[in-house]
Amino acid sequence: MQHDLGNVLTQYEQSLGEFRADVAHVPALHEALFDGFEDWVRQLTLKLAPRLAGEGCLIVAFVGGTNTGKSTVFNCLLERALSPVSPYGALTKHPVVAANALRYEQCLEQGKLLPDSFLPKPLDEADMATSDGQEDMSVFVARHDALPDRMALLDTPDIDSIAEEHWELAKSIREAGDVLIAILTGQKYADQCVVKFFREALETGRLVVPLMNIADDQDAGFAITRGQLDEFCRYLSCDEGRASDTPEAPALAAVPKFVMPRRAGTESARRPRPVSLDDGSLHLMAYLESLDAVELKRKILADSLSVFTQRAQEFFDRAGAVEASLNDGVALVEDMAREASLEHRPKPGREVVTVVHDFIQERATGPDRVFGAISANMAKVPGWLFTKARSVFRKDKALAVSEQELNQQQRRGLEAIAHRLYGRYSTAAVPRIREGAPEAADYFEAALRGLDPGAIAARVAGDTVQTDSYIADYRAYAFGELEKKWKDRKFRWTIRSFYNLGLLGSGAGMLVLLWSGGWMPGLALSEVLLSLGIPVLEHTAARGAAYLWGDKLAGLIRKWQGLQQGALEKALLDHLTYPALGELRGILASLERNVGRMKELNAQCHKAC
Amino acid sequence: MPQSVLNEVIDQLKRFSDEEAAWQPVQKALPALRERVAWLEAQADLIPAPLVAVLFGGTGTGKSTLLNALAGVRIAEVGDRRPTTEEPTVYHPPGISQDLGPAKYVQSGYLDDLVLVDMPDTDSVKTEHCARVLDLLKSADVVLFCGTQQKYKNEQSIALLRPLRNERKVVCIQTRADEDPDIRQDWLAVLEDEGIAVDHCFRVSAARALTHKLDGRPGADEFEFQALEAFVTEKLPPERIGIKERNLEGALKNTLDGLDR
Repeated sequence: MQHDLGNVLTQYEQSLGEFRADVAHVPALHEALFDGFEDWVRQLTLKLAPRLAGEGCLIVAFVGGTNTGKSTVFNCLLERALSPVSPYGALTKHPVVAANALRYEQCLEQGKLLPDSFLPKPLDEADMATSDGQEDMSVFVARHDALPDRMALLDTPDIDSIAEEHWELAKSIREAGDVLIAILTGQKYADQCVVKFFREALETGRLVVPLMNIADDQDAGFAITRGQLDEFCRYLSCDEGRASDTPEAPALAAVPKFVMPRRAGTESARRPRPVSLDDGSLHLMAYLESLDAVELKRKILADSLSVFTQRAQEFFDRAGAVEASLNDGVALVEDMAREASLEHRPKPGREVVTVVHDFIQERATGPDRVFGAISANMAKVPGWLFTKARSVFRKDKALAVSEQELNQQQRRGLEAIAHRLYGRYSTAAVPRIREGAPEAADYFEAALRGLDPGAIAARVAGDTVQTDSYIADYRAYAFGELEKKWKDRKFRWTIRSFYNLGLLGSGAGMLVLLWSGGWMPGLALSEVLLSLGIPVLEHTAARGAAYLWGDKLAGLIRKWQGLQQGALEKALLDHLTYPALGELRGILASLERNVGRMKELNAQCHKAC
Repeated sequence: MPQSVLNEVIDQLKRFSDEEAAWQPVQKALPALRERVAWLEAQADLIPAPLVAVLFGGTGTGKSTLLNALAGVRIAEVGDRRPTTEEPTVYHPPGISQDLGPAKYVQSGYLDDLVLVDMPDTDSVKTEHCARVLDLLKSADVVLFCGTQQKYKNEQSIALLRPLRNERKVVCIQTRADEDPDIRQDWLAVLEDEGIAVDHCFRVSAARALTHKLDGRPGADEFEFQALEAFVTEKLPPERIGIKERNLEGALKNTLDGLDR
């Protein structure tokens, strides 16, 4: 079971690590997700995942407030002054581990017996653990062959001193220890931070063994000490140390309490030994040796796991809420980009008419082709009249603009859309995201502020307006559609009739002019007529086409517009939406992937315990 | 700083705090500032009143024992169960004007211009004790910081004194001298690092002193109880105006520094 569970927990840790690294890009979101869950993460990374390789070696940690005599008890058990003691508090600045030859080597291997957050170093000189120049997470390992394989003893800095770096260390030690010897004194058994520390240790399945140091043995049977120890145990068992009539937690009631008598005034008296309060012959060391390491580890693991999986469930709930609101936020801004792209209604300009003309010209035969060629060539005849006439006849202004103008118009329109979307993001999207995910909203708002709307608008327009290609596109679409129609005989006949009627009309008019007015004025007039006639011609054909399959043509424009809108949407997303969302999308993806995986693994852990 | 100048600075602060500020950070700080100014005014009015010295320290440091020893009578409850003192004991000369809230008031025949307050602990599982201490510290002029070998380096006690740097006269008393070695040197170094100025430090065994007093042999022990007693009951009260003015000056300076930030 342990092996499988080890794999599961390793994967668990990987997923969590990956997810944390992804979310770390948005520190506020990281805080919102993990605030209050540090202990849970710590439990996984420090205790559960690496410690399964413990092979039945108990880590017995001596923990307590400053100057309560942790090192004194530690040395006493080892019968050797390994850890220095001093009358001044907070002397031990780094933990000291004592272990026999086998465990000594394992302790020195980082992450093997001790959590891998510790930096194990061999203890060469006794005062190394008290020197300031060491790295914060240094642990000094001393070889002490009198110890059995089943345990390593850990002396620790205090948990209540003014040195802040000790607090962090204390937490790691709580995770590292399997058995915590609570070193108490008559002054330090009701301290808030001491009680809180051991209460949390108890909750995560550690075996807490209370030991009253400097116990007063003036009265027979340690009556005062007994009362104080009872009170300590009750403080641990209730929630906020209020009601002292709470019964002792079962985990605590089964553990013998120890005392270390005050060194009596008579110097010749035997050295004090830590013994059981109820059975003066039970030495603390003997009790520790009697503990079933494997069973204890299994219990700690099961307790820790069940606490862990429960907390995990709470974390998943929080992560789920964050996921939902992030999802909503991302969907919201994406939708807004989509809606904005629909405001883009490009028009193909004069191409609608020219395309029809070109198409017919391409399909025309015999006289149609001749007339058509004349018309096309004449259309090329320059002259202000020609242009003038076109502008007079073309009532449809959209069809009248030149490609260049059209390009400019489109560009301005697109830039305005990008600007409007940027504005809507700031005014509408941010408050709405804030309702669900305030941290994401802050991030989004800051990212928006960091963007330059002008540059974005230019890039969006540049990506979307490609007049050359869209005219070619439009032509290709129109030709395709017309081709389908052209196969219909009736349509063909109709369109040619329209077209030829126009051509014939202007040709006849020209002949009449030539005949009635002579060559020179005739030519001049014919030019006028042609320059008027050709636009009429084209227009007629186009109108004819519109009349015949106007819906189809409009549909063609719509389809083509759809393509243009699609291009705009992509440009808006690429240049505005995604840069503003920044890491949020990655986080969302990571959340979906990793939290989903962690949920599966959690279920496996739950089953295992 | 003469008293008139102190009063003037307080007046100026009051005027400043009464104005509605347009700038948001100032607006946010105003309620706290007003409270602070009201406190300063009250303290300035109390300058001629008796000196309030509070016994301050973690649970089990022997605050109540020390009060009993100073009084020579068992007026405050002492015990082995922590925390012992639930309700503060106010030991005062006849007819004091300061209201120190709900407490056990014991009138003294021998105190002159000095009120001694035995406070609850700063660090036990009963967090309401710490709240009461915070409240009482507002009225204190002198903090008699009781510490033992085990309880002089505790974050929870020192955290309460940190914001009061230079605003209270702090006197360190190592109690339980009969049990622990002398830690005063290290203690003073710690407090100096924290910026808490201490110019007097005594090492006493209150339990022994009380026994000796009750036995009619005051001064029989080898520790410094007699010096402490003389210092607290004879030296401090006549200096009360100076002490309070210096406290007030420190408080004003802290307030103004706070405003600068």
